[in-house]
Amino acid sequence: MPTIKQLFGLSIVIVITLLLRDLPYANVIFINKIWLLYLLILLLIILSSMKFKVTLVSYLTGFLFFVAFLLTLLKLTFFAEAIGALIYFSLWIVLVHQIILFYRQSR
Amino acid sequence: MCLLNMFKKYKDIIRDIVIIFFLSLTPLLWFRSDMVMAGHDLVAPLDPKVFFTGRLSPWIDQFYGQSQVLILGTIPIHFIDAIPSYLGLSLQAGQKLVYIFWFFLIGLSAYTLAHVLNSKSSIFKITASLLYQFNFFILQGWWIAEKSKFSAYIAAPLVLSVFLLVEKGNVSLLSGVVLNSFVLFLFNAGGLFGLPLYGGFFVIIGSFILFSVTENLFKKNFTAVKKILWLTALTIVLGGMMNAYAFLPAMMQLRSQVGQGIAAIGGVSGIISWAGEISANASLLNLMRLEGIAEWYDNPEHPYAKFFLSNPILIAVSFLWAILSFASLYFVREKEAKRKILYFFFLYLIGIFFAAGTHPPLGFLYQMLVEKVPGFFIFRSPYFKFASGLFLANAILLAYVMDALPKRIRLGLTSVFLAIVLLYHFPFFMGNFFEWRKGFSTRLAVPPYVFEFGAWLNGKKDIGRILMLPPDSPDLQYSLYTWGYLSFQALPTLLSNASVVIDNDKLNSPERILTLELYNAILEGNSQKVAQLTSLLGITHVVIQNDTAIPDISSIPTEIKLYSQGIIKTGLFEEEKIFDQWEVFRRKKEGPGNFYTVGYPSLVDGSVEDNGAYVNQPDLADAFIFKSENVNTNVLAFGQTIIVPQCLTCPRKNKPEVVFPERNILPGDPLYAVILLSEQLRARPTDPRGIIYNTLGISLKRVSEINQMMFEKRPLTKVITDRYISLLQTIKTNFENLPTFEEKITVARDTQQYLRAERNFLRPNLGSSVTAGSQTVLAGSIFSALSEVEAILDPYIAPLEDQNSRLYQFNLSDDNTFGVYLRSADIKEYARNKSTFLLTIDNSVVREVNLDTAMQEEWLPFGTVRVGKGFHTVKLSLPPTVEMAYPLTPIETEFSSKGENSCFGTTVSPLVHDKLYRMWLRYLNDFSDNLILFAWEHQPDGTQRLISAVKLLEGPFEEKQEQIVEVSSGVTQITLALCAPNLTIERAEKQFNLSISEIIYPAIIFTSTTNKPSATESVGYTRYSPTRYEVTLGQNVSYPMLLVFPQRFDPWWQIKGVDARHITVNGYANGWIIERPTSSPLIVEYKGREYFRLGLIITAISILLGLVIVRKRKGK
Repeated sequence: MPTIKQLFGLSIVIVITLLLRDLPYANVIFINKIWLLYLLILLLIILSSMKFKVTLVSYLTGFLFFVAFLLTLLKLTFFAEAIGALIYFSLWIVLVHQIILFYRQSR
Repeated sequence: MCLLNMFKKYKDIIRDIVIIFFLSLTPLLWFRSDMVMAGHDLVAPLDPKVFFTGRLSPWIDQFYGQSQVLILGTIPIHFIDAIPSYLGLSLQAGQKLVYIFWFFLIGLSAYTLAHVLNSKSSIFKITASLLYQFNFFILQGWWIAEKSKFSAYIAAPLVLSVFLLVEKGNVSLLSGVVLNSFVLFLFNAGGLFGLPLYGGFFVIIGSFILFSVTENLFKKNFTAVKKILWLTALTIVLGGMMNAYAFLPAMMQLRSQVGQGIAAIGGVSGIISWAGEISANASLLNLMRLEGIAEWYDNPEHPYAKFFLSNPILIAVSFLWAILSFASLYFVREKEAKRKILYFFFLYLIGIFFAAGTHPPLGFLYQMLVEKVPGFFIFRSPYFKFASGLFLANAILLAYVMDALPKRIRLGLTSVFLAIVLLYHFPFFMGNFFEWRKGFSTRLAVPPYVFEFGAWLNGKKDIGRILMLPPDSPDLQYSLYTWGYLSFQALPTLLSNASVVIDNDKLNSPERILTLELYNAILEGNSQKVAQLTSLLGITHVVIQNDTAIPDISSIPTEIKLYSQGIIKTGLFEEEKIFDQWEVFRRKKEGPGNFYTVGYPSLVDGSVEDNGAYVNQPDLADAFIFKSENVNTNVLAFGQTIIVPQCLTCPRKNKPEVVFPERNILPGDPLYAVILLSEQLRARPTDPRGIIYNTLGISLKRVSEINQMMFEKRPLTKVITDRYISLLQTIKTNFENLPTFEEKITVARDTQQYLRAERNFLRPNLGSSVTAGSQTVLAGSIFSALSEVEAILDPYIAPLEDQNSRLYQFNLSDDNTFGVYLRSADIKEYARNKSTFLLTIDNSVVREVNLDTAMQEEWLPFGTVRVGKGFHTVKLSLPPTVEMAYPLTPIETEFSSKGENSCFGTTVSPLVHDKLYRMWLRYLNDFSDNLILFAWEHQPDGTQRLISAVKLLEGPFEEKQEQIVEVSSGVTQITLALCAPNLTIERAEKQFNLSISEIIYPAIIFTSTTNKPSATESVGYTRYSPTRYEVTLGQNVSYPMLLVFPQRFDPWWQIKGVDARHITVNGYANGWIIERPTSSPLIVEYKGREYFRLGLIITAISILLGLVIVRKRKGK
């Protein structure tokens, strides 16, 4: 589970982003992509609340590949691409974890 | 014995390389019978030796002369093309060898990297090489043999290998620098011009530097960090020096041209929208599947894409690449290999990001890079520039997976896997990918007469300049022949370096305008005009190509026989030689040559666009100079003076569309101060015109805010209205500061449009949201301020509003007597009735001409007039315009929807291409806030193309909407329609009045009546190279004089040995005004030559330096 500190930090980020919604220029440039930040926050919360999280992400990625394959076969391109974006972000998570693991083991 | 030992020692490597070489013979499957590769974007010389020698110079005679400064880096690539020819091989055999060479090097470069990563496993190395050679990214390059792309593609693994070896300590830092520099020298992707092709290279090497430096910083291994950073910096220095022969001249030229370069490709927004096209299908998933090339999805005739987009087995295999790359993270346990996998996986993900370009979800970041990072705009085709990083990473990761398989199944499974790779990439073996669209291929049989023509041309010395007939379509600009050649690359440029002209994208604007005028003159068979233009343009020969197949949809005819007839009709040419389908004609009277002097040239006050007015004047000299060159008449005496007064009231564009921004934060809100602050912080123009347009933009925001406040019934304050009124004051002050009358007319027209829209936007609030009290007073102050500015604009708008007169201006530096003429062709419309045209000069001198039906002369004379020095205005009064009224009837359009949206309209015809029409709609729209006026063009193929959609104002008063329609080529009718939800036939009849008239902008010229006859003298010269001539002036030349060199004007052309002013002559060529004689030899030289030579010296020294370093290191 996330700590109180982390939760507090997250809520501050969310409040700030909501405020930014009304700020000129920021509302156009930044807020349109705010869902990326929310996605990241969501992933962090899910990950930190799960045991064996990275292994799970790996399996999840494998599963997502399968879903994307099925959606591609069904010619549901938009949905397949959306799953593709999820796969891409989860691959980054796996990579970061693998790098950390690799250097921890090296020590 | 020694060789045998070596063979034994390296037998595995030799075996692997033999396998790669065998696979590299794939291009042999592509060549059929006597076919060669040519056309589209494929720069495959048809005479490689000649082509290569042409590239060895920073200037080439092709067209009207072209600078090659930006493409000098292609010398190594074209040298490789030329080697087989030097060895005496045929063109086809040479192409086969060159194709195999590049195919093999791609495999070999990946093999080298794989060897550095894992020297022991052949499975690893072969897998990596094969995947790097066979993929759809590189196949997309093969159909047009993008050798520059291959060059960058080969360089990346080689340089990465050096980085890995230096990091590991297997190669010293200095040797690494030298090796990298040699790689970058040999595989430079065509030099500075090919820099974007290095996108993937930058991602690969950049990712490695980032990865390695970060890792070593964490490990506190600062020596390694320093080593990598030094290697990078020194590679840039030495690599740059080795390429100095290409970089130095290009950088000297680019210093002043970056802005122009961006502007030429449509500015940053144009780049982003192009990147959007390329990235349309480069989704993250498609890229992981190693797909995403835009053309696969938008070209239904793509030779192989359909299989990969629909076949379930091929779709399944495409997922295999992604899954195996992912699996590489788990398959390999060995520490060093794992570290490398982590780097390549990092590269894989970074590569996907860059190759995806502007595709969501991360496309906004790419867009930001284009907007914010200086120079990033060069990567405007993200997939094609960056995907090599992804493909390299994928090849290596998959090689690791194969190598990590259990030993007993490794060979078997890898063999199956490699078979799948080759089978999946079956288009490589079919060769049908050359057929890029039905009926068009880059693999074709070039007719023998084309080569014969090339040989004849190359055998002729000083042939002059050849014009190819018929022209390319000016709208399409590519050459197309019945035997299948389609390309923007003019065919003669692949055969010869001679000056051969055709109207394609290689011509600059003045050259194109003058060349098109010559084509038109030939069509008319107008001997005088053809003679004048061929002299001005230096044309000595014409070639009639009877095998062209240019589409007929063109702004000038492209039918071959029309040009044959025209050439015969002029009587100026005689047949010189026939090459089957190509007929060469020579001008009977020789032109003035490559260098000539002109005594008493003509002075033209006008621009190249006005050439239709001044060319064909009987006294025009063989050289004319524009007044804009500011040549002092005391320095150079002119013969005839021709003035083409500039029309001030001939707008060719529609008035700007005004859109009001939506405002959420209004005055009084806590964050409103931030809005004002951010406006203050933005960079603002400083010139009056810029300030006015910038202020108009801000005023829209203020009006929008005031409107929103009125709507929400929030009280307006004096501060708020004053803020807006002060903007109007700024507009007023700066309008008064505009320097020229012409500028005031243009700005007044736009400003009035904005202010009228602002008034109309606010007006509905009166009586509804604002009804009484101080609010009315404040609103009133806004309207009176608007009226005040409009009153200042009125005098400049009045002439524009007058449909029956045109206002012109010109400036005269000396008193003179002129004959004044009006071009008959422009006023044909009035020929039906007896009409009178009045010409008023400076509101005092009035001349009259009566038009009768038998209008014979090309120019109608107004008589002569004495005009004094200074600024003059000319007003031409035309007979009343004939307006045709068009009743609106019910019409079905794509926007019609029964019971919801009705359309009423009309079809207007016949319209003529290149003419302008004014459409007037007087209307009363008191019923809909969604009334839209649409216009469609009827295309020659029967389809309709929507060309405009304008929302009409709603209000209680009658309004008028004016629209200027410029008719595209091939279009003869347009449909206009009004659509709104509650538009009825009664309303359409009573409340709308549509009329159309042709807009006429007649040309007027003033030609001086007392002219000194001009004298043209050919000048002897020795040509040392395309960039250096020695000119010998005769003894009887009188000074000051004008020396003309009919090559494209370029500021880098200079004359040495005499003080001379360099100017543009004839609108496109070089000229020098030489005031006094000199005893020194006159050398005409292109400055790029000096930079090229200096660059060559730097290149030679750095190569020697590199060799010395390698030798010394070897000794150690």
